[in-house]
Parts: sequence; C-alpha cells; structure tokens
Amino acid sequence: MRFLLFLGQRLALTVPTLLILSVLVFALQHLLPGDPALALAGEDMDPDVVAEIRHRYGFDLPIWHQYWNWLLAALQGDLGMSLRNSMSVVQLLLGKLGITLQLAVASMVLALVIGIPLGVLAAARPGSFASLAASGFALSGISVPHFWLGIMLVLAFSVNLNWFPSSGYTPFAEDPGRWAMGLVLPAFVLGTGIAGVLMRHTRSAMLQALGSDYIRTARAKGLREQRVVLKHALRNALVPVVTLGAIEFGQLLSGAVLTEQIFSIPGFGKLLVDGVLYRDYAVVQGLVLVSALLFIAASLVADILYFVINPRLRS
Amino acid sequence: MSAPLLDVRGLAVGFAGEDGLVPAVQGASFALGAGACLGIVGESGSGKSVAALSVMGLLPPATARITGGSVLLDGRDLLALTPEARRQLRGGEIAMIFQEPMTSLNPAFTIGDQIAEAIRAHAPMSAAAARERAIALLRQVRIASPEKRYDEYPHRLSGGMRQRVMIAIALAGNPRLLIADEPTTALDVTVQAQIVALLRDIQRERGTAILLISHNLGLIAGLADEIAVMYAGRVLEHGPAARILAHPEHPYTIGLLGAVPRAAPGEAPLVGIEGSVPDPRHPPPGCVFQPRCPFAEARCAEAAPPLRALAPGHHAACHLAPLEPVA
Ligand SMILES: Nc1ncnc2c1ncn2[C@@H]1O[C@H](COP(=O)(O)OP(=O)(O)O)[C@@H](O)[C@H]1O
Ligand code: SF4
Ligand SMILES: [Mg+2]
Repeated sequence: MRFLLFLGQRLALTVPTLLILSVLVFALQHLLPGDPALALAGEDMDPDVVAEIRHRYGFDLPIWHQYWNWLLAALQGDLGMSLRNSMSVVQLLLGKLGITLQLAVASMVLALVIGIPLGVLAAARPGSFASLAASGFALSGISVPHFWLGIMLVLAFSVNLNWFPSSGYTPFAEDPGRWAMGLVLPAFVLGTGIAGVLMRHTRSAMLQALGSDYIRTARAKGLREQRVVLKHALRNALVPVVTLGAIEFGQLLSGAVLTEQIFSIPGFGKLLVDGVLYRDYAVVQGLVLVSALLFIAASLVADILYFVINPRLRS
Repeated sequence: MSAPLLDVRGLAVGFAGEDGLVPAVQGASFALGAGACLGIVGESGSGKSVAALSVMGLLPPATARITGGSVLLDGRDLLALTPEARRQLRGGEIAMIFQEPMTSLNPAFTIGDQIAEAIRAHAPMSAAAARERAIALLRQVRIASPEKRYDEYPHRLSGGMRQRVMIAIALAGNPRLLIADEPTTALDVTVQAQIVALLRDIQRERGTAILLISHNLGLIAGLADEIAVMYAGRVLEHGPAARILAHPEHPYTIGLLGAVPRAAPGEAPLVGIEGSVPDPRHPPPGCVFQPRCPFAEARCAEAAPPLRALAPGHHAACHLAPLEPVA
C-alpha cells in the first residue's frame, strides 16, 4: 500500500520531466543547423520540390502545431524515417538497443563485482596494502581516459596476444563464444571506470557505517568481525551505492560513444556518431529521446530500489 | 567482598593525539562482586566510558592504547586474552548497553532479528528456537505484544522502547556482568525511572552484576551498592553507596552531591561545581581537583594526595580527608 502510493507519486513526478524532454527533443530538430526540408530534398534544389516537401512534412505549419503532430506520432511509436537507409527510426533503434543493453549489463556486472568488494575491503582494513591497492585501482579506473585504455587493451590483448577479437560484434546466435569474447574488452573499459566510482562510494559509505553506534552494538554482541562488516555495515552502506549503480547503468544505456567507436560495436553510440555525421536528424532525435527515456527509467528504478531497501520508508 | 567478579586495577588508557598519547584513564581501580551493583559517577569527560569500553574490549583499536593495569574477571586478566577469546566474552559473560538508544540499533534489521542474532552468537540454535527466546526476552524487558514487536524496525520505537530492546540484546547471552553506560541520559524523566526499575529487577531476578555509569549521582544512588567517583581519569573516592551518600569525604563528591537535582526536574541544581574538567594534556600540579576545589590549600598544588582508607571499604584521595563534620 505504502509502496503503491510511493510509486504513484514517483510516476506522477516523471510526467513534467517527460513533457520538458519532449519539447527539448522536438526543438533539437529546429536548433540544428540546416533546413530539414533542404536536407530531405537532397540534390534536387528545385524550390517547388522543397516547398512541396515542406508542406508534406508539415514544416509550414505553426511551430506548436508541428510539435503536437510530432508528439502524437511519437506517442504512437512513430519517430520518423531515417534519411540514410529507408528504415523507420524506431526499427533502427530497436535493432541497436539489444547490443547496447548487452554491453551495459556486462559492464555493470563487472563494475559491481569489482567495485563493491574493493570498497568494502578498503573500508574494513584502512591503511592495509589491500586498501591502498583498491584506492589506486579506483583512481586509475576513474581517471584513465576510455579511449586510451581501450586502445592499450586492444594493442596488448588483441593485436599482440590475440586473445580477444580487436573489434566488431558477433551476435550470440551466430557464435556464443565469439560473442562473449567480443564483449570482454569493451565491458572492461566501461566497467572499470564505473567500478572506481562504486568503490569510492562503497568505501565512504562503509566507513560511515562502521563508525556508527549500531556497529558498536554488533561488536558488543560478540559477533565475528566478518559478520559485523558484511551484514551490519554493508547492508546500510549499500543503500546509497545501489542508487548510484542504477544511475550509472542508466548512463551506460545511452550508449558509450567512444568505447563503441574504438571496438566498432554497432550500438547506440555508433548510431549517434553516424547520425550526426550524416545529418540524419530523425535518428539523432530518436536516440536522444530514447536515451533520455532509458535514463529516466533507470532513475525511477533507483528510487524504487532505495525505497525497497530502506525500512524507514517502507513501513 | 570476597574475590570480586570484576576487578579493575590501576587501569591506564590513552588516545593517540597529534603530539603523543593523551591520557583518558590514569590508574583507575574499582571492583564489583557477583550480583552486585557498582555505580561509577563523574562529570562528562572523566573517563567513565573509556574505562567501560576497556572492560568490554571495545576501545577503538586505531587510536586507543591501554598503557597499564589489569582487568580481572573471576581473577583472569582480560587484557592478556586473545582478541578471539575476548570476542566470545562480549555479549556472553559481559554485556553492555549505551547512552544512545536512538542510534544503537541497526536501522536495516528488525528488532527481533537483532535480538535473535545475539542469542545465536553464543548458543547455536534453530532460528525458530531463537525467535521464541527473543520474544521471551522482549517480554522480560516489558515490551507489550512482543510477538508483534519482533518484526518491527527500530524507527517505529520510542527511545525508551529502543533502550529496552538494547537491554534484551544485552541479556541474550545470560551475562554475569551488565555494563550500563549512561543508560537513561538520552531519555525523558518518566522513562528514566522505568529503565532504572527494569535494571533493578534484572539485577535481583537474574543475579546479574551491574556496572552503572552516570554523571548523575541521584540515578546511581537509586541502584548502586558501591560507588566510585571518577574525575580526570582517576577514582577520587569509592566506598559503600550509603556511606558515600551520607558521609562524602572528597570535596568533588560533595560538589556532585550538591549538584544532584533535588528540586523539580528542569530547575537548576542547588549547588554546582565551578569551572570545568582539566585538559588531560596539561593536568594541574598536585591534586587534579585543586583548581576547582573550594577547600584547596598550599600543599594541594604540591603533591597529589593518595587514596586513603577512612572507614572500612571507604577510600578518598584528599589531603583534608577525613573532613570535620560541619554540623
Ligand atoms: N575515541 C576517542 N578518541 C580520542 N579521545 C577520546 C576518545 N574517547 C574518549 N576520549 C577522551 O577520553 C576522555 C574520557 O572520555 P570518556 O570516557 O568518554 O568520558 P565520560 O564517559 O566520563 O564522559 C575525554 O578526555 C575524551 O576526550
Ligand atoms: S587535596 Fe586539596 S585540592 Fe584536592 S580535593 Fe582535597 S582539598 Fe581539594
Ligand atoms: Mg561517557
């Protein structure tokens, strides 16, 4: 009951966000340089043809009317056609979403598996070698540029050692082994950056938890230190970390432009680069819209998780 | 008192500061018989909590150093035990409750879970059996409808209820010694009395020895058989509670007695002690109480007075003791 109320409120709050988002995305079309009607007309610059296109696409209507038409279409799942290939934008996006999603999940799993244990270790054994190593790792994970790390990994593990494919994406159905190997390096590049962020937050949340009175109580009970750290401190420290993780995941979903570019992975990032390069406005617009929607969804999930793991809100 | 349950001798504890160890407890001694109640009283900062945490083995390891003395439980020196042996004593033979009931329970787990966990830490048993015992403990600390409360989270409980839950956790391992460090300081006056009554019943019914720590001599007077008065990390006076309350010998104790709120709650105490506790890094020469002592003489700044026996079991560290009766 409490939860439904919370969910209702939270969903209601996204409505204005979505409206603002739709206006911004629509405006994108008009803010980008160049006349879309001219672009659509292509080589043929005949004014009559341009005027005809302008009329057909509704570019001659008042701006609010254009927005309304666009919004109605978008709500029905019509984001227009790509200029480059004659696919609908929605079709194009759906085709790439799976790839971006796979990379995002792989990166996130790696980030969680590395970042949280290192953060716990760094907090539980301050000043130890393990703690220093973890901090060093986090710092490099955060500060090393993705393109540099990506190129170095490709040079070392693909070009020299030939352990992993250097680029490209193989669908799972085609060759599961190649599919997995192809994801390792890009997921590592993306995952280590997020692992560093997660590690730092886990460590500071753990340090805060470990200094609290309830930890003193747990120790006064005579619990083993492992239980004190992994049950009593971690359970509380995870509350902010889980929220952060969901937000980071939302960012991964909008596509990792550089990393996808380096490893030639045909996901959202690649689509965005191509869209901008070829002035494929509808595609860019659709991408921005869908990425923002995914991000909003991720922060919604973050809030729901925060609610679910926080007993003070739940009851 | 024959061989005491707890015998703390010459305990000295310091904290690592910017320039060296800052003393917090300096040669404090006190003892407590099985089933008895010792009250430790003293202003904030006099080293009561540090002494208690030394007995529990819960001093912050990174900064605190025990530099001398011994903590004997049944004649066995706890300071010589391995960390693992000390862990097993915690929550088993020795339990502790704290000043901060609002923050001492883990907000992420139900109170039942937190009690059952304490039970199973010292007596392995099924979850169902631990639940039964936890509910019985909740009933013992007089929490109404314990079966329902078992599954509640701490934030739903008042401060007094949380302190009762803390007491239930402390009783989970059937301790022989319960340390209660300012157990009522954070609570309302009416709730304070209930918690004191509960502690008294626990002492009587279960034969649990209680080390009761408070800055409030009035609270200690209601429960303790013996009283030790701490100031600046030292015990300045100790003896049977009735004797200390009727015939205090140390000027600091006399001041504390004057500071006992006898008037209605909220009104100022009748007499206070001027000034504040000395900076542990720069203790005054001679008697530690000398800068604030209304009776101080020249010799007080020259030599520290030793603890001297004044009556059977009654000791005080003052050059002037025994004082002349005034009236
Ligand atoms: N964790 C700590 N780090 C540094 N100094 C401390 C710490 N805990 C207590 N102290 C110092 O030890 C002295 C005694 O403190 P405490 O035992 O808490 O006093 P009380 O419980 O009598 O109010 C004080 O001077 C205090 O500043
Ligand atoms: S020794 Fe002197 S200063 Fe210290 S308490 Fe006694 S009279 Fe006061
Ligand atoms: Mg204290």
